Amino acid sequence: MIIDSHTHTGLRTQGAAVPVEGLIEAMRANGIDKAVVFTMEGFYSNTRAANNRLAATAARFPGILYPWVTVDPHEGEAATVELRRAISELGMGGLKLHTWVQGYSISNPKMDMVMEQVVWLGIPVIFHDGSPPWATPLQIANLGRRYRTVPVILGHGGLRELWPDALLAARQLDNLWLGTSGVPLNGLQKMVDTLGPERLVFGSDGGAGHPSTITYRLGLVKALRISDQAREAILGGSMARLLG
Amino acid sequence: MAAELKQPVYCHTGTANFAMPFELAELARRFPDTPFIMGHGGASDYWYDVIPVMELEPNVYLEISKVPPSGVHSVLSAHPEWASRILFGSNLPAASYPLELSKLPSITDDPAVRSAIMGNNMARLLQEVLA
Repeated sequence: MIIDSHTHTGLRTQGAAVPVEGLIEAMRANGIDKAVVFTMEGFYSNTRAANNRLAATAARFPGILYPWVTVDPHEGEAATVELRRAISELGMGGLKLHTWVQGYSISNPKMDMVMEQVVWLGIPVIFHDGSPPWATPLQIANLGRRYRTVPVILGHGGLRELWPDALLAARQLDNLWLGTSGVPLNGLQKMVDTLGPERLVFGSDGGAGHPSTITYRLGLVKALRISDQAREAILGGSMARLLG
Repeated sequence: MAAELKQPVYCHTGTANFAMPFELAELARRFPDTPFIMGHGGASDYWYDVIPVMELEPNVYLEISKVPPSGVHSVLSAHPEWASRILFGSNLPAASYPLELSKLPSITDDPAVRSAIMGNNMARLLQEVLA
């Protein structure tokens, strides 16, 4: 089973809708069975509308698309209300935050109210990461250190530049997970050699862009010098545990 | 080597080509007996990381050049006990002494805290070197 832990659908900045069929077709072409899918426009505009839109899109592909909610911590209490609504009424399975595009540091104290709600709901959270100054792996690690019961996914494994920080953090904290979308091949190899595959989750960051992105990112995991078992874990076995 | 020589280590931190505060924290954790000075408090954009980092690693010190006085004041308000971990620095020649010194009244009006920031804290760190 192959699960893509990191895809996007929704509206582009000019408002044009990304056809989700493109993602579905790319999944079929690459043998990907399931995808966790996040908003795009919800990172900078009305999160409630974006979450509704995402839920409706995913509902057309049950068992294939798994939508996760986005909230805006600037809204304070209203963000936790929306988080509860998306989990209990929209049936979403986790929280996605993009602190860079959304405009707050992961170290901002506003995060605590959201994280306490995450703990209460018992859901995982995935962050865009690898982007200083407000979305770095070690900032996420500090959050994960303070909320040890929460599975925290570093969505891009630190990206091209900060993957060593992401690996360092994941070695210290067993509730941190590493997404593969953005890590170069040598970084991925180092990660699996150091950490093992259990907390590595394949992600493409595809969906809105060219389908070759998904093929390429999948190709990175296929190119790793690892056992079949390890590859199966990274490609889907690990993420399946978080989809519950 | 710094640990062997019992030297404090100063690291420029901040946007965009300096170290990130949380990276400094990793180093501080590995060498808990060495004082690490967080130069410029991660200014401009890593400011949110300062309090978490200083909470995490007790051997990290905050050097205040490039930091607005209100920022230092808010750190001290949240953690008055950190008066012993704040170090005056000017960033000369890129700054002027009168201007940097004029920050102090906005940071604290407690003369003991001022003396600590202006010299006693650093003197203590250096004494630990000379000892």
